[in-house]
Amino acid sequence: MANTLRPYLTCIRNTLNATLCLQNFPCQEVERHNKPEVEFKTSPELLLQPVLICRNEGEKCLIEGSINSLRISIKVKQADELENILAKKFLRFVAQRAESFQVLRRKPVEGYDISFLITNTHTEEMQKHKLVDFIVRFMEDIDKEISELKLSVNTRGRLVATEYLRQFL
Amino acid sequence: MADDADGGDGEQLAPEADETNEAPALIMAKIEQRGKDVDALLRKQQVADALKTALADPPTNTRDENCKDANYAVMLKAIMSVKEVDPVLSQLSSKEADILMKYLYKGLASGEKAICDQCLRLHEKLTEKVGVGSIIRALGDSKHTV
Amino acid sequence: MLAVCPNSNEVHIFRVPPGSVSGSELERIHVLKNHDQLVSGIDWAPSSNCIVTCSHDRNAYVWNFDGKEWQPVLVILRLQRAATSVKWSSKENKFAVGSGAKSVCVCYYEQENNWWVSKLIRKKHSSTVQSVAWHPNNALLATASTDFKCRIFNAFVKGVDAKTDAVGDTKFGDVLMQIDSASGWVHDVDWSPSGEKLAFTAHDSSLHVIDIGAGTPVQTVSMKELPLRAVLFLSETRLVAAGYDNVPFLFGLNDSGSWCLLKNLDEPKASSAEKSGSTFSSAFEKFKGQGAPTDSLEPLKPPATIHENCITTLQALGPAGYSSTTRFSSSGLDGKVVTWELKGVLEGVSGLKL
Repeated sequence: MANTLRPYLTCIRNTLNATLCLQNFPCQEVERHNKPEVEFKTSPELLLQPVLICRNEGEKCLIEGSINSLRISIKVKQADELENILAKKFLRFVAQRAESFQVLRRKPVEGYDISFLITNTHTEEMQKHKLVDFIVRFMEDIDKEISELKLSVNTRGRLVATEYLRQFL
Repeated sequence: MADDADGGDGEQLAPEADETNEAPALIMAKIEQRGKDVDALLRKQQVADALKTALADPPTNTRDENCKDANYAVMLKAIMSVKEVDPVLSQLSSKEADILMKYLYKGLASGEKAICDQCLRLHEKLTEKVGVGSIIRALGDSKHTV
Repeated sequence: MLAVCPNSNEVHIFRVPPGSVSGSELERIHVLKNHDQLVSGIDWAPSSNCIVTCSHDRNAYVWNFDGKEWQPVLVILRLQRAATSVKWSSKENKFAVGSGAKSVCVCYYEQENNWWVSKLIRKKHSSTVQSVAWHPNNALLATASTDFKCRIFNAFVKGVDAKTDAVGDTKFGDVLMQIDSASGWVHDVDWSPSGEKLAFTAHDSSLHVIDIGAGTPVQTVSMKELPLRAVLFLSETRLVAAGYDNVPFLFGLNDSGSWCLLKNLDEPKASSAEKSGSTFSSAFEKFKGQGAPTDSLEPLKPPATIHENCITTLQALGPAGYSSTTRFSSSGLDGKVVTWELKGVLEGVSGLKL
C-alpha cells in the first residue's frame, strides 16, 4: 500500500507544478471584473484539459487548470463506514475554517471530499513550490490523520465497553 | 531533445490539417492493423518497438470517440506490458513522449488499480526524462485529444 | 530611470541616484496614479520621452513630462474590456493597445482636440489579446492571443503615416498572416531588430520563430521546462525568453539554421547536479527517497534563482533602433528588476530590490 502512495503524490506534484502557471487575467465577458476562470468556465479556450489522477477506485484527485486559477479536488480513501464518517467530519471541520487556509475552497466539488482553489494572487504572494508542497503534504497527512482518529475511536470504544460491562461482573 | 522536435513539428503541420476529414472507418482499419502489429511485437518481447508502434499516428484529429477508444485499447496493451521502464522510455522521441503523456493521463483517469499503478510508475519516469513541459503540452492541448 | 508598476493601480518612476555605481539603490521620484485598477502595460518612448500606460480599468494614458511633473493625456480607447498590453510604434507616432475585448486599438494623436484617438481592429481575434509588437517599419503589428494564434496585421493609418510606409494594397486591420503552430495561449511576441523574423512564446512550453524574409516555415522549439511568458530579440541570431521557471533562457540560431536553446542564464555555478531549479532537484530528491524506506516526499527546495517568481517582462537596454544588444532587464512578480549583461558567455548581474 505504502509504496504506491509515493508515485501517486509525485504524479500530483508534477502535474501541479506544470499547471500552476497562472497569470493575472481580466474577465473577457464582464467589464472591470477579474474572476477565476475555472469556476465560471465562460471561455473554453482559457481552460486546460481537466485531469483525473486515480490511485484506485476510492482515492482520486481532479485537477482543473485555467489561465488564472486552478482547482484541485481530492477524494480521500474511505475503507469502511467509520472512516467515511471520520473523513466527512474532519474535512467539514477544515472547510469551515477555510479563510485561515486561504487556498481552501469552502465547498468541495461534487463527488469529492475537499477542494482547493488557487488563483493568480496566491501564486503572486506565495512561493509556488511552497503551495505545491502544502497540497501534497495535506494529502499525505490526511490519510494519517484519519487512521489515527480511527484508532483512537476504537480504543475509546473498547475502554467504554470494558467500563460498562464491568458492572455486570 | 529540442533539436529533433524542430524539424518534425514544422513538417507535420500541413498533413495533420488535411486528415481531419478522414472517415472513421478508415482510421478504424488503421488502428486494427496497428493492434495486430503491436500484438505481434509483444509476442516477440519487443516492448519498446510495440510502444513506438502504438504511439505512431494517433487519431487526434478525429472527433469519433470510437476511434479514440480503440486506439486507447491498443495503447493500453502496450503500456501494461512495459516492465523495465527506463530502457523503453529512452527510445522515445520527444514527440512520442508527448503523446504517451496524454495516454498516461487517460489511463490515470480510469480508476482501475492495476492501470493506475502502471501509469503512475511510467508518469514519474517520463516526467523525469522529458520534464514538466510535456505535462503542460498534454493538458493544454484541447485540439488534439487522445 | 525606470518605470515600474508594483502590481497595483500605480506606476512608480525610479531614478538611479547620481554617483551610485552598481545601481543597486534606487530613488523613487514620481508616482503616477490615474488608473483605478491594475496597470497592465507600460511603455516608455525613448526619443519623445512619453510614457504610455494601460490598465484593467479599460483606460490608457499618455504621460508627458513638463519639467517637474508627469502630465496625463487622455486616450479615447473605446474599449469595453480591460486593456492588457501597450507598445509604442518605432516612430513613436502611434501606439497599440491589446485588450480583453478581443480587439486591438491603434492610437494616434489628434492635434486639435489634444487627445489620442484610436482605430480598432475588431473581430479578428477569438480571445483576449495578450501582447502586441510593432514591426520596425511602423506599419505592421503582431499580436499574441489566448486563442492559440499569433497574427500579423496591417496597422497603417492614413494621414498619420507617410505614404511610403504603406504595405501593398491591404487596408488597415487586414490580417496579413496567421500562425497557429502553437497549442497553448500565446503569451508574448517580438520582432527581430530588422523585422525579418518574428518570435512568439506559447503556454505549451514552446518558442516559435518564423523567418518572414526568407519565407521558411515556422520553427518550433518545445522545451522541457515550464512555459515562457516573455520573449525578446537581442540580435538577428540571438533571443532571450523567460517565464514560469524564473530564469531567462538564451536561444540562438545554430549553423544549420535552426533555433535551439543555448543556455540558462541563471544557472547556479556551484554544482551541476542542481541546475535548472525544480526538475533536477525533484529528481535528486527521488533518488534520496529511494535510499530511505519512507513514503513521504521531501519538500521541494526553494529554487536557487535570482527571481523568486515568474518573470513577466523583458526589456532591451541600449540605444533605440539597435541592431544587436547585450544588455537587457527582466522584471518578475517577486518585485525584482534585474539587469543582465551578456559578455560572451559570462553575465554580470546586478539586482535591484524593490
